[in-house]
Formats: sequence, structure tokens, C-alpha cells
Amino acid sequence: MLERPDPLLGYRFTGFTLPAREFYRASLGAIEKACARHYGASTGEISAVELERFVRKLAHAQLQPWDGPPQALVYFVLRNDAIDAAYGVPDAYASLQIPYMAHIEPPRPWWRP
Amino acid sequence: MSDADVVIVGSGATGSLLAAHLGTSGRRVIVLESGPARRLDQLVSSTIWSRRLKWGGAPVRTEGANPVVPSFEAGWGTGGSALHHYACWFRLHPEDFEMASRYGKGLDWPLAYDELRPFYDSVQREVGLSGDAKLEVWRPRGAPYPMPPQPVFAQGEIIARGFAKLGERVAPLPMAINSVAYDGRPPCIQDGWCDAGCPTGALANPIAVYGPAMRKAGVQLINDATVTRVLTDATGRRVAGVDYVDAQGTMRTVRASVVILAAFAVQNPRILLNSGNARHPKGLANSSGLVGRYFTSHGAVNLYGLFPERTDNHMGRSGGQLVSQDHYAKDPKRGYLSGYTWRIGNALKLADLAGIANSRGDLFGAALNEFMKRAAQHLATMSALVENLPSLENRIELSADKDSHGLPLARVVHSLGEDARKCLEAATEAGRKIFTAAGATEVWAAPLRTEHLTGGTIMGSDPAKSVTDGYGQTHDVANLFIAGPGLFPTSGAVNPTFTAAALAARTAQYIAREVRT
Repeated sequence: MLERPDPLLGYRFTGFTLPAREFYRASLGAIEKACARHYGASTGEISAVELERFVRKLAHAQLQPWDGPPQALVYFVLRNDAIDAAYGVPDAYASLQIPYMAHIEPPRPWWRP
Repeated sequence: MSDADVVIVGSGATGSLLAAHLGTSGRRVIVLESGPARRLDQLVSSTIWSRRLKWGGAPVRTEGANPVVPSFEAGWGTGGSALHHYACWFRLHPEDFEMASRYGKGLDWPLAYDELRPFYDSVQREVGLSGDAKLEVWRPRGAPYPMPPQPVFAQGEIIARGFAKLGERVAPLPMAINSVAYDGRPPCIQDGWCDAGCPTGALANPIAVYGPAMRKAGVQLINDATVTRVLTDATGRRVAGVDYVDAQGTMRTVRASVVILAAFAVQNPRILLNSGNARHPKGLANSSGLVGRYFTSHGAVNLYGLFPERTDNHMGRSGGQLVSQDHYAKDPKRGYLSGYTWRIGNALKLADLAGIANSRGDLFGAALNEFMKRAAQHLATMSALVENLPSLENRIELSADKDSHGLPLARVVHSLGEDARKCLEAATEAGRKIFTAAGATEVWAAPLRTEHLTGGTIMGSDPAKSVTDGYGQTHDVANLFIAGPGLFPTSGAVNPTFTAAALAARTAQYIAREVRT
């Protein structure tokens, strides 16, 4: 899903300022470093309230110090990747009672080529 | 001996049209497409898988106060961006061709609306457009649409209520989408998958419309072929062919009497600037210094509203259901020279850049999930497309960074001018009033954005002030043509594909009649 020429993740829309693998490694690494600095724990260990506060700071580029790609870009790309997984699949449409109406059904799970 | 009479770089809306027309006229045509081969039966209905159709070639560096998004606008593979385009096909208005003469701002085209009108008419017959020419009161003179308009669903009816309450008019959106069976292609089934590519052929993508004629005429389409430079003869005054890198990474040369660059508004100037030689030290066809200059994108803003009733926003077409151009006409007394078009009632998907979740980019987690439950049933939207006047400072130039073949990347600098920014403010305010009048319980506007890629290789009468003549032939190099919206000196306030196609049809007729191969 990451490698060119046909990567499917949201990073494709950024124009590839970095190779995709490098971007995701740098972004996720910077997030974990910032979380550890703020809460002394990883993103998987902090409470839901703390996680929401943390993501809001990321969205507003307020995590300081920050050692990664621009925070707004990281928020945009990772948020869209999460939206793809949660809402870009036929099951999400069914759960919201919206007809999916495919001409050609996508693979299930979505990442299967 | 040449390899072909005509080599066309790019297989999108204009490249395919030119290939079909010139092949049918008896010319030997080769099309070099940098992206992979595509077939209609590969167009999976998925916002995730649709990304394969978006630009995947050499990265583009984007800068400026209002950067463009070539990674969304451009296409990748057979059919180019027209394989995933929204098929809103408008004509420019007569005044759009005469901005400098009429208003003292912007640029003039080397041709008037009436010179292009026959080609608008012939292309709309060939491609198949649906609409209602009578209700579309702002529409310039021209033949009526060959198909009746598309149906309007709840979302369109609800928003139209707001326009009516404020005394403003709407009409069916003119679309290159079949409302009835047309030319062997079926009618649209209104499922909103246009952006993922329409596999039925109801939406007039190049594979569906021009593929059969290209095959019948023996046009040779070569995919995974990245053109690196355009070649000239020893004098530098006549085109001789192109170099390209094939799928195996081997550099190859195609010799041809005519070369047409139809690789869209960013890559066309990049190829020209990368094709400099001793006779053309600033890049090919660049004696004016204007290759890459006057690059322009529209300003755009999306209005959103939540309504008490169900909007059925999953129904219809990605491009919308209705249009209003009550604020298209330019009036300098407003304090700005610009105008806008409303495209109303877009079919929405849950995810992706234009999806429901991105209508509120500030939401995530539980708040986003709660919003999605309401919005999936009750959201409505429309977008204003705003004219941005051409500026020398908006440009495409070569970056210091290079692609995998060692060629400099394109660097694109773009900002909206003051006229466009003021017009966007006016449109946003007007849109809020329309949605409130329509009964929305919540109304908001998305951040301003850019849309479409035009200019960069503009046409004009004066070789010192433009790159090509009115047929798209470069002033400096005989038989080297440009096709696509990169030719536009001004962009008007409408989607550019119809005008790009009409210009390409005019170029094809000129080459078939006037150019010896």
C-alpha cells in the first residue's frame, strides 16, 4: 500500500515530499516521542481523554518540541488513513444505512490486491 | 523515415481526442502515456482504490500562498485525469476571451467565443452532453444539448429551495454523463462513483469515448512511456520527435513530423523546459520566457449544511446536480474583477478528500463518529468556483530536485490574487445565506482551496507575449503543438475540460487540413 507507482494511502495526495515509508516512519516516531515526553507513556497506554487532548495539539501544531514532518501534514495524512479504514469500506456504509451501490465491488479486506 | 506522422504525449481528454481525430483522418499516430494501461473493467467502486487513478508520476513541488494539488487533479494511466474527472462540462462565456480588451485586466485570447463555438457544438455531439439549454439562462450561444438533463434528488431540491427564496436561479448541471443511452453507451445509474472512474461508460471518459475510434484507426498507444525531451531538427525551427524512457527503463526515440504535448498543465511546461538545446537555451518554445508563466488555478470554497430532512446525498453524480451562474458576469463596480459558478448537490462518499468526513477536518475520534451518523443522512453541499486572473508570478519552473531519470522536477508556485480572494469572500457569504434560507440547522464553509490547472503554455497572437498561436502550435518550433487547459490565457469560472476539448478539436482539424506529414 506504500510503494509506488500505485500507493493507496492518503500520503499520495501530498505530492511525495519524502518517500512514503520514510514519511510514515518519521511521523509515527515523532508522535511516540512527543507522547512519551508529555505523558511518560505510549499512545496505546494513555487514557482516551489524554489521547484526544494529544491529537488536538497535533492538529494545531502545538506539540513542542517536535522532531518530525510538519504536524499539520502528519495530522491530515494519518487522520485520512484512519478514515479510509473506518469509513472507506462497504461495511461502514451498511452501518450508517447508506447503500454502497458498487459498479465493481472492491476487494475484502480492502488491502487485498 | 519517421516512425509516425504524429506523436502525442498523454492519453487524457485532449490527447485521446486528437489521436482519434487524426488517426481517423489517415495520419499514423503514436500516443505515449507515462502511466500504466487502464481498462474500464478495472475501475473498482472504492474511494481507496480510486487513488490508483490519481497522479503517480514524478513528484511535483508545490509552493505559494494557495498551492495547487496536482496529485489530486492529474491522472495516472490511460485516460489521464479525465478517467476520474467529474464531467462538469461548461462553455466559457464570450467575455472570458476578451478580459484585457474589455476590463483592462487579465489577458485576451487569440480567438473569440464565436470561433470556438462550432467546436463546442461538434464535441458535445461526439462526447454526449446532458443538460437543459433553455433553463441554463447564462449559457452562451450554441446548439442545444443532445441529451435531456440528469435527474435531481432530494439534496438538489433542498438547496434549490434556498436559491428560490433569495430570488436566484438554478438549472440542471451540464454534464458529459449520459442521461439516456447515447452512442452505444448506457445511461448513468446515479450512484456517485464518478471519481473512482465510471466502468459502464455512462461518464464520457476517454477510454469509453475515443478508445474504439483509436483502435479502429490503428493508433498505437504505448503505456509506461515517460517522455523526457522534445527533439528538433538541426535548425531548431522544426520539431523532429521525442525521447522517452520505456517500461524497462530503456531510452528510446520516436521520430515524427508532428509532436503534440497533451501531458496536462504541469508536465507540458516541464518537458519544454527540460528540452533546451543550443538553439533554445531557455527551453524549447520559450523565446518569450513565458513557458510555465501565467499558470492559474481557480479559487474554490465548499459550503456545507445539515438539514432536518434526509438529503440522500449518496445519490447523483460527484460533480453535482444543479448550477447557478447568477454571479458569473464580471462587474468591476463590485470592487473586484471576478465571478463564480455554483455547482450544487454533489454526490458524497463517506471517505476521501471530497468525502463527508473531510467536510469537518477538525473532527476525530468520538466527535467524528457522532458527526458521521448525522451527516450521512442529512448533509448537503455546494461549491463556488471562482475566477483567478492570470499573474506572471504564478509559475511552473524547474526544481533543483530530480526524478529517477535525472530530470529536474516541476516546481509550481501559485497564489490567488486579490480579486479572487474578494470574490471568494462574497461567494462564501452568499452561500451561507442560501443554505440558511433553505432551512439548514448548521452551516459552515470549508477552508478556501484551489481547483483545476490552467495556463503555463498560453496561446496568443503576439509571439513575444505567448507560447503558442490560436491553434496551439508553438511560435518558435514548427509542428510542435500543445493541447489541454495549459493553453488558456484566462480561466473563466468554470471547469476547463469542455473548452480544452473544443480547442483540441480545432487543433486536430488544423493539422489534418494544413500540416504536411
